[in-house]
Amino acid sequence: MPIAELLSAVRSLLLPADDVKAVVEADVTTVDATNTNSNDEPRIVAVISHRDASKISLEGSLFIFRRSSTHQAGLEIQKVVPIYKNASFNLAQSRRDTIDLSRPSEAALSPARTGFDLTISPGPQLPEVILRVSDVRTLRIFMAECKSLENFAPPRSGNGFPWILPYTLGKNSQPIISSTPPDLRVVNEPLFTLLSEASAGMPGDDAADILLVQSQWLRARAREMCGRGTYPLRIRIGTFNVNGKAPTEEIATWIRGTSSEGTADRASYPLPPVDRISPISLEDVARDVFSINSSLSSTSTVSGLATTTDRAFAENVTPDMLVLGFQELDLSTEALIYSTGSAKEDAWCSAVFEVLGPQAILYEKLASKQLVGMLIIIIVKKALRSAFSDIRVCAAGAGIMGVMGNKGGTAIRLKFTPPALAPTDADGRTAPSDEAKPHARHASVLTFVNAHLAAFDEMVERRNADFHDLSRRLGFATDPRLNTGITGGSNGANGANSGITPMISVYESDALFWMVHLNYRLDLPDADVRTILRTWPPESRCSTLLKYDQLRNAMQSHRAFGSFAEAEISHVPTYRFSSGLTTDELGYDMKRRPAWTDRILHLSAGVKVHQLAYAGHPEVTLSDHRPVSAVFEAEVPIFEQREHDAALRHLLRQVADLPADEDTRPTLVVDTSLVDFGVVRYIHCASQVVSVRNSGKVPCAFRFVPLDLGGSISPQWLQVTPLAGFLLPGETAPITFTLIINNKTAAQLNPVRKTLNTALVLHTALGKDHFISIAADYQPTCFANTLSLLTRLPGPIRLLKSEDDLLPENRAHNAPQEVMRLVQALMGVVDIAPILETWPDTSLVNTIQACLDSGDEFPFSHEPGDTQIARAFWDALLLLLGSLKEPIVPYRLQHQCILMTSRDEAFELLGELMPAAINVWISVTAFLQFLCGSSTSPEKMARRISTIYAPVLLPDDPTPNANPISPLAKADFLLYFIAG
Amino acid sequence: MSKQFQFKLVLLGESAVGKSSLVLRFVKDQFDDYRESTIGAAFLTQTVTLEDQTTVKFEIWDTAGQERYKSLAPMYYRNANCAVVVYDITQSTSLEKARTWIRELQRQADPSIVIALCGNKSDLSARRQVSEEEAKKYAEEEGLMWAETSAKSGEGVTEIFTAIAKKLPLTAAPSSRAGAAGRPGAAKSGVDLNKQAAGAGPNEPCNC
Repeated sequence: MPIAELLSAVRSLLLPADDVKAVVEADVTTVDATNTNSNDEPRIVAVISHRDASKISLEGSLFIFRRSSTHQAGLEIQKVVPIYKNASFNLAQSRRDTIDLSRPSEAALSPARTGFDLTISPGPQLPEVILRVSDVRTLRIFMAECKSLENFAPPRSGNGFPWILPYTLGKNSQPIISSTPPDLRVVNEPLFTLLSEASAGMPGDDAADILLVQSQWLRARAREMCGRGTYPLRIRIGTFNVNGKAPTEEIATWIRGTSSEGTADRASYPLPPVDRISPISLEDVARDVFSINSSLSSTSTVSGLATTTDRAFAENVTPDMLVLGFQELDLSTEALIYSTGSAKEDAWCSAVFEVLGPQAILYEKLASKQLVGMLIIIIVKKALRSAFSDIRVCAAGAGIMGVMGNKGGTAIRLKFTPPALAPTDADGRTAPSDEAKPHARHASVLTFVNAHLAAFDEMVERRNADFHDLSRRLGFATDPRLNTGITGGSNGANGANSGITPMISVYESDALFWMVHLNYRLDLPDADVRTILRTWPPESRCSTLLKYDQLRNAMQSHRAFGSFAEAEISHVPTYRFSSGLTTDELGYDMKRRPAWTDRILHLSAGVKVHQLAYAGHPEVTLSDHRPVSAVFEAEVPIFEQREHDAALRHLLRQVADLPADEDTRPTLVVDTSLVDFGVVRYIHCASQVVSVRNSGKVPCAFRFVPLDLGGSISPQWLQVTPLAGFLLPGETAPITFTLIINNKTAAQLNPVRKTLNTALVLHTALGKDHFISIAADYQPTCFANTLSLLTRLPGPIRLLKSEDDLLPENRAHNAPQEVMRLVQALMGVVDIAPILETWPDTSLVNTIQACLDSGDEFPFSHEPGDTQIARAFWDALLLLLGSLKEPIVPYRLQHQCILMTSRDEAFELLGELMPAAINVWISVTAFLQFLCGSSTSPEKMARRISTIYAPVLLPDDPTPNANPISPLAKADFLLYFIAG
Repeated sequence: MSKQFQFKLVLLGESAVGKSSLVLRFVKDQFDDYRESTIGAAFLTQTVTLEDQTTVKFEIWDTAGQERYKSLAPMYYRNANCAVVVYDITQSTSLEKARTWIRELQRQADPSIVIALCGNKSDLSARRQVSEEEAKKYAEEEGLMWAETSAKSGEGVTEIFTAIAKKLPLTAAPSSRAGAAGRPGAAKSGVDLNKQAAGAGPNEPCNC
């Protein structure tokens, strides 16, 4: 074909912003695994240039085409090779009839034409492409074009060359339709944090941002288009450090679940985020159902969170999968050196089936993997057996003895193809039907890891390191034939095509579960842990202790398990109950500080996971650990792979129209440019929705940008969702602005009435910036101020016009009027006990708060007998004290407080507080002392109230790495003032 | 051999003086009788070729004129090489507003910024409230370029942008040939594109 014809054929395949610079017909050899030159047929290679939409830069790529009668213009794009900065081009005469061993033999042996070789290295670490051409003149032109594009080329970076995407998407090499799910740690990263750095007037890398936003949109939209609902896969997971012991019948409750499990675990569905806005967040402190000698059984009082349905869910449904992780299966020294076979595994496995009782017949073992003491077993319902496929296992040692595997992990990865749903069975569940065609249906990847990390309290850094090491090293071979120890079959979807065997990470899953003996401990003195466990009310003992949990802290600071989720723990520590040692009253041995060493965590994206239960099993006493169980429901998406791929291709065609020039720039219309929230007060949370519409001819990606690089998008009192999005022409999306007045933001906005005003910049990628103004009229509150400001208020805070009107220091009140009003209102209380049992009423608390701010009389004729109203005053006082900008007892002084050994010493220390703080302390503690004294059991009541008030009067220092102070010691300090 | 330069230009001025219309005329040679008020900032580019074949590419930021968005303007005029401050010859208040903008630019923008004062809507001279003399005198006092334009008829539009191009320092100016670093899209980590490229001087001609 003449060059001119080739040029026009290639051009006909290009998008408007792209052009063909040169074209040659050549034998192509690429020095990588993809066999471009699978037969002797020459390829058409073209140099394609792309103008950036803002017409400032030019990028180039090599397009390699194969002739194909079924494709447009008779050409099919086979490969696109971007030309990066420092790409090199070398022309040399072909050495005919010599075999070049450095190249794949097939290509080297192919009949060479007379001519020249152009060797192209597109960039560092990229495979070379060699073109063999007979016509050196054409080749010279070709090379010159390549070189000139290299001049403009950007350096190689992760996101470059978005414009080639429309040409290459749809090729199965693209990750967007990969059969391996993306890394969960990356997918769970908020999209916004991945976008380029930008600010108003300084766009970032718009092209790369479009690509990111678009690919996330493509994934979500394709699923949406072909989704046929979800299959509720019920998974029960257990973790148990068996300390080398043999199984007994005791494990029945751990395997089958107890009838109380669902209630004991505050089964939350889905796990509620901590509500930091509502005053309810203080309920945990204020609401205590007191019982000093509560038993250690996991059947503690039901909290309001567990609904009847949840309980029914957790109890009555048999799990589809039973996943059990064991640690320290074999403590014998030989076990560390060589495999001791499957005797231990067999023993545990048959014990599990035995305790399943009559239900055992429903199940079969699917897979298992053991590494010395660590064993993971997956048991599934027989009826679902055919839905599981492509089972892979792996193991990795960690730590000092890594190779020998006394610490480390074993993991199982499998695919689950939801069977077609049939009418619900007797269980109330849906059962698989025979009509299922699993091969055509999309399969979700589930991965389960059983791990055992380094021991001992002080080794927290070591455990964090072990976690990261295991995360890296636990990998599955891509070729399922390399698997060992699998009981299930595999229908290998990922056939490897080269000698190198890349590993699939455990994170490349739709849902990932870790059942771990993590060995993370509690950073509190041994005696305090035991006392709190023994004497504190069940509702607050776990939540208090968990503040000092090393794993929770490592998760929060992202030092380990950063993106994982763990359900609320309401069971007591599962470690350690060593037999033969002295124990405390609760059975914990005295040699080790009690801790939650055994945990179950999860992380998911493609499959939504709800945790229905999380429980310890203190009744299983065979080991020095107590086993832990969790029940999950995974919403496995149901869709046909073929429909999904077709939907994706359809969408790709729609988004391929990248803007080429000014006329086709993305255009967004924002329906209002002013969002006015009107009057806002503490505690307030209001939302307003603005809708944005793509009014242009091309797809459009948008994002908010901060005013300054690295700055925040909006002030703290305003939240915006989503921060980025993608719209096809004509589509509309809502953007929600949420205004939040809580302790944190009120502290910044107080003490006078002010107009809140801010403008946000909504940037259209490759298009305009839109301004959205936000306005609100803020009314101050007496909550979230400093004590000294409150004492200098001439009247109610709402009436304060300016800070100049504050009373001078020397005329300040002794104590805030607001605190005194609340204490006064509570003075009529005769018996505090029933008030503590009363359910708090948020609306009453809000009314009281509003009256404190405005100075209005409380709108209820306060009868001492009305526990509901008394409870509201009680909560309001706790809230007000807890909202103070500076704590009553300064953080530095708290370390001294806990050293006090007598009432006199404690009172002396009070002199160190600010005068207003002393007055508040004295009035509040005197009132509390009076309450306790009039109680039927003064000592018990004082102890109980001290655990409620200590966290409010002596709050934890929020500074990172602040030396933690035991909550017990704080309560003891308070007791000097309120007891007897 | 031709040289290519690239400069950031920002348009400022009271609402409804015709900033967007001026840009539309300059970039696309179009006029739209019913243009909606700009609520935001638009980025456009246009190239001017001078007599010596030197080309100057303007990266134009057309900003909202409404008072409500005044606090956002500094984000757009920072790092600008030139500013066109527009007033409406039929509205004397708009010249007052222009003076405010000019004072702000002189105080807060890059000291080397080239400022042009532009009296738009010259086609409506029958309703003129601002005399040529008054505006010209003010511009001379402040050392600004000055011209009257009509975005509607096109009169004076290309001329004022060409005049700005000539006034810009074309000896050691940035070029569009700076590759990735020359793309506004690559402006990362607060790098001032123009300043960065200014040191490099005009690029070597490419060998294509």
